[in-house]
Amino acid sequence: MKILEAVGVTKSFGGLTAVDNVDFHIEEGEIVSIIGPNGAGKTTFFNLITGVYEPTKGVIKFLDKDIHNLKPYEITSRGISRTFQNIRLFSSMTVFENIMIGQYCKTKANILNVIFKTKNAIKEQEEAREKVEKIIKFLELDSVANEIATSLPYGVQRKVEIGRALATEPKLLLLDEPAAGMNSQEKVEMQALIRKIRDQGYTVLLIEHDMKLVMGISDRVAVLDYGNKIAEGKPHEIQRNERVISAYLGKEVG
Amino acid sequence: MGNLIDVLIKLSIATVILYFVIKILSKGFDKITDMIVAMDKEKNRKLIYLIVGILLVLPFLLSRYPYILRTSIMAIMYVVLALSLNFVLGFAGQLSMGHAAFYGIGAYVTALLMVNFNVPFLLAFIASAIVAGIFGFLLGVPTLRLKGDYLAITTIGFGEILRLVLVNWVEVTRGPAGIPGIPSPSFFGFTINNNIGYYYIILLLAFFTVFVSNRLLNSRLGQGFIAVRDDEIAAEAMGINSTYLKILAFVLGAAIAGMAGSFFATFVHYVNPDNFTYMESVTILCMVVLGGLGSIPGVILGAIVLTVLPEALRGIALYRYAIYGLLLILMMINRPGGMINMDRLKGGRKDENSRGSRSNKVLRRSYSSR
Repeated sequence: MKILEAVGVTKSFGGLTAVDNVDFHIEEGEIVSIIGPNGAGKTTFFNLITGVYEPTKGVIKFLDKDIHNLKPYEITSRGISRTFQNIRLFSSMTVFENIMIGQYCKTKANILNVIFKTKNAIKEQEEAREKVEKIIKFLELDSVANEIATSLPYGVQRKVEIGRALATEPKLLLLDEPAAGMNSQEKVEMQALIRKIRDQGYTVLLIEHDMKLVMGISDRVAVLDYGNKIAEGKPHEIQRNERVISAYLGKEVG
Repeated sequence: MGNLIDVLIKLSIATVILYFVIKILSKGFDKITDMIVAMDKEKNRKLIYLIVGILLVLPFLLSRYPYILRTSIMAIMYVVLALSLNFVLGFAGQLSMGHAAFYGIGAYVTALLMVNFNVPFLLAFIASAIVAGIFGFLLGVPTLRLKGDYLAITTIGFGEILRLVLVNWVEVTRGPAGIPGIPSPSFFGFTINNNIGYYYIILLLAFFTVFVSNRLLNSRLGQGFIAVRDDEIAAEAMGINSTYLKILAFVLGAAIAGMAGSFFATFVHYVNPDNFTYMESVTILCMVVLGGLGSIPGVILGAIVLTVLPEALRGIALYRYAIYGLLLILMMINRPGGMINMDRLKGGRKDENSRGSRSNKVLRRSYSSR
């Protein structure tokens, strides 16, 4: 079943077309990667899915419903969650609190419920905390749960960001360069983690530069270049694709 | 010329002394913060009972010192005002510099209703909160897209407009002459006619404000505010409607400032536009920043210190405001996070190795049912 479908999606900034007429879809339970040289439009495409930008043209459907005119927070509550290329954790919060924010859209207490502390408000808060504790255990963040998140090492911060995204209980998880800046050992761990997340029943869409990681983990790879999708297929097909090779390495003249 | 040199020498000496005083005080604040962090729920509760107890008997201890009692009332009123600005500035991170406008709206609504229409205090009080809240909404909506300096300028503008309206709309506000003869509040036939009565009214309002702040901070909404303050883009990506939260902060802050204004009008029986100038907004802002942005105990302490200090410094009349200003400058250089820093309350100090050892307690407390 198609969980996400983009048809003819285009995004122009003035004269520059960052994403040009891209068709793309994700099946439920897949790990799909988007790769491409710098400036190919990968992050713009992410921002279109998550509602940061509205497409100039085209349709984006999530679970058969249009989402391209929704606000980011509405899209998140429908079940798409993301991490950021440059980590964006809440700097005055602990790891626990950061992940707890993910549960914001799953809880409903309004200002009066909160002030009078109604039974429902306490109950949903309690449930939210239990879910967050589970996520912390799943990501093995127990020992740093009470640390201020931004004071932790880079690799751990990435994990916290993934935890925060998982706490919104998404059906589709978007990871924007999760292995950027990691050493090879950490990359191996990240690969194992992404697989573990998929095995929990999440669908994962990945932007990544590290080819070893992408080729090792993806069910399907899409390649963007100058905003166009130039190839799509299984990892081994992509590795042998002429257009992809020339996009990355340049073409011989003559 | 000789006089100028004399003043400069005295101020320089004062600067050096104050610098060391603040260094020492700073250690004290750290100790207090650590104590708050280390306390468990039971001890915390006991401490709160103790403080509440002292506050309740205070007016009787002070009955021979009317001046101190009056200063206490003003200090508690500024606690309410500073906490109301804390919703906007400390929680949601919106730099609002026209907060005195809401305070003024509350005061004038109560004054006009009670003087012109003989409305009972409680009704006028509620009306003040509602009208100020509506203005908070009206200011909040168009300024949503503004941040930092731009928002500051807009809110200063709002404050000035309000003041000019109060000065120039003579038919209603009586202009610069102000509105005299605001009656004392009365409840079910009892009229409050001494400062002990006023003390309890404002204390009740302060308890209410602390209670709301605390419940809010420890709820999903409060954490949502902090998320929006830290990183709005990330907050939106986590499913937080930041527009809604920012307006909520403005409305709440304005409504509570309006309540403080309503109290002020009946307390001094006279309001005029000079009470609600830009300087008043700045004073409230200083209380929040000096105390510690977003930290409830910090903001309370900030409000008390900045109300009591100018009074305590009356002894050195001439240098009073110079010392006051110096204290602010040195304090901010020394402790930019404020007296009781919120991050530190969570154990997030970077230069300490034992950060991790602060157990679950802090965290549990920051979420659990207090």
